[in-house]
Amino acid sequence: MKSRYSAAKNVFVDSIDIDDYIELNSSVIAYQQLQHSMEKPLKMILLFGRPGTGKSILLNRIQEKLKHQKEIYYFDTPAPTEKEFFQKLFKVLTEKDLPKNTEVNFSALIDFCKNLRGKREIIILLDEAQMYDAEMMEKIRLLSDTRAVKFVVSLHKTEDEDLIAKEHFKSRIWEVIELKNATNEDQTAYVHKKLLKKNLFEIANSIKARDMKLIHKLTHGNYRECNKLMFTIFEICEFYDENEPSKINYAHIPQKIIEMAALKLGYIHV
Amino acid sequence: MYDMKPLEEEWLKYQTKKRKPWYLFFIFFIVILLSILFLVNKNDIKFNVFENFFATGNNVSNNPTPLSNKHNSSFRLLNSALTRLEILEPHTSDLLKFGKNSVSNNPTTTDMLVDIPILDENGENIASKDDNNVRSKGKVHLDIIETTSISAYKDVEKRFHQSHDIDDALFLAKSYYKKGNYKKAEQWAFETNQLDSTLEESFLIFVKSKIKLGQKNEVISILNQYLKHNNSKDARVLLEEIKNEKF
Repeated sequence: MKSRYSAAKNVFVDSIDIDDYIELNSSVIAYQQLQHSMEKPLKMILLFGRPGTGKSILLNRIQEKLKHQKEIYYFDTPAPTEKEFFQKLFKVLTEKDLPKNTEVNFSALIDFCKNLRGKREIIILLDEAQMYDAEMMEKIRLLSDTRAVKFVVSLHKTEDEDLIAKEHFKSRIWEVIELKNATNEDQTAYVHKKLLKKNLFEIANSIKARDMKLIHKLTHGNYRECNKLMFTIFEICEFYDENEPSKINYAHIPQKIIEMAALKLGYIHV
Repeated sequence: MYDMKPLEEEWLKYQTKKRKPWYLFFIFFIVILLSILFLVNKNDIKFNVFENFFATGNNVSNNPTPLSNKHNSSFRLLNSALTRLEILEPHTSDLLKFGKNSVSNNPTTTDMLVDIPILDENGENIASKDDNNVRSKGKVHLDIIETTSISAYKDVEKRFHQSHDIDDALFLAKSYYKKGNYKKAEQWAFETNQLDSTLEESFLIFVKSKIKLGQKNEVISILNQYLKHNNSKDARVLLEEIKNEKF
């Protein structure tokens, strides 16, 4: 017989699935802020925050919502080479594939974009932009200067990446949206809503406020870490449910299991 | 799926580590508590020693350790008798009379004297000779007190012969004097004085007992000698009272 915890475990498989998007107070605010920024005549918008704060899912969400109203494109992972990036960009701008054995002439691309000004407004969502090198970022900046292409650049917030942002965008018109780690309330709502979305009411109720406080403390409000921890918690619950049911309390997830999961993931140490 | 055993063991280790500060704090707290209790008790012991020193009004530095220990033990032993014997005062009219007449000149001594029903030489209790009214009211109490006080006296005397404790001797002298057994009072006052010749209290009991035994001239001579070497107000007052036939 399949354990009740199997379904709960799968709820927290870490993926950027737009169907799994959970609307929280903080994410709604970030979404509205980003949408509002995109309406402005800005050339570049910087979206940054620590890993696991929901940048990728926010970009996906906005692309999904606005794709029928705007020319909006999501570049999930950076192209391994400059050539491939411009091939991808060429297709977006011209809506044609780059002919074989040809390369994009950057100066010609800039001119092409200048000609598009006032005719089309293209928004490109660049995820994981910290992986682009400085030269590439300079070219992106030049493209944005044509005012035909608007870039939303998503960056991890670290000291170095802040420097990159400063170097490349300091003198440009850009807006910054920062995503912060979840509060305990947001994280509690996130976990509960995720479970309720899959009709796992009993399991959602078995996670009490005290447990969420501990989970928040262990994951520092990071959604990715929270997903990992919840997945591991339910995996351990599943094991006990199937093998040693006496060790599990169905009404309340024991703190022992949360700590065991944290030990397993290295959040706490002996 | 995980192998849960190692993970459970790791969790147990983690729990031990997590609780370690609490265990340490608990042990620290217990140590502090015990230290405080020890210090408080230590102070109490010191306080008792000083209390005894001032109560006897004398320096016990000649033999400090056994004296203080023995005094404490005798104090404890007699305390029970003291508490109960005080109840007897309203019923034993002749004892009261005795105490008032004989000790009123020396308030310090009176305060320390104890109403204990005492056996005469034949072992008969004075209180047992009281009238029936007195006996009917406090019979049960008196029976209990008789037994306690006799054993208390015997114990104190027995202990004195082993330890030669000055406080025991003084206690017996005061008690016998209060009860009118002046011969014994003189004897125990003398014993006390042998142990500490500077103790005025025992000296005064000694001379008062002698007066009661009819040795007035000898007492006057002793007091005169005493006053040559000591500027004692009590001794001077007593001498005046003897000379004026007031004692």
